[in-house]
Amino acid sequence: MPTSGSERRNSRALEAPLIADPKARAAAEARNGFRQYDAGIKTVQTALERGVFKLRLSLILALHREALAGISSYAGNFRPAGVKIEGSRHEPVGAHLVTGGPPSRCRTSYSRLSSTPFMAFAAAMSLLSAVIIGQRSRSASAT
Amino acid sequence: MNDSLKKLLEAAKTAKQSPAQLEQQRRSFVYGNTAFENSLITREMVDQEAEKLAREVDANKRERAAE
Repeated sequence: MPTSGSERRNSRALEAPLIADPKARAAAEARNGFRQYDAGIKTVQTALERGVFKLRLSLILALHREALAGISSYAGNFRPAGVKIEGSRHEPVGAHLVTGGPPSRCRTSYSRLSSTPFMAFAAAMSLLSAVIIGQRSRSASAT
Repeated sequence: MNDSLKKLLEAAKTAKQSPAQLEQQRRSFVYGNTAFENSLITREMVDQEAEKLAREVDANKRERAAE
């Protein structure tokens, strides 16, 4: 994984930043990282106690909200604009395709893991990454 | 999967982590999950935010207890 210099991967959301100061924004991202982690652990513990896990869109969006609260206007919602990932050849799908992906993936491949909460949660986090990309990291003017 | 790895996995299933180890793992996860997209995020910053959140949680608990 590239970690420095021009090879560093950067997602760029095409939206105005809520926090202009880069260092304050970084601190907010770290703080939200804890909130998301704690929410994730709570989800796993609940699933283990109940012995079942059902991946739902509401969970994906709740984790998304934890990660982006105070950072993005779209916390807890699907992104309405395009994103770019610098340093990656991956091209995120257009905003018009985002809403259709997670629900269908909840119903199909991810639901097959429902008997193993940890695996299911890992799948949820993977899916969340796909949704979140470009919104947590530095916002920028349209590129 | 070789036998050594199987044994390690079995041992990991029953290993108990101390609260300090759990917190260390929590901070490590958050650093790893955030710093790779923002080079301004440091381990020191992650530690500071963890302490701030812990203070907030304590303050909220005290408020609820006082009600």
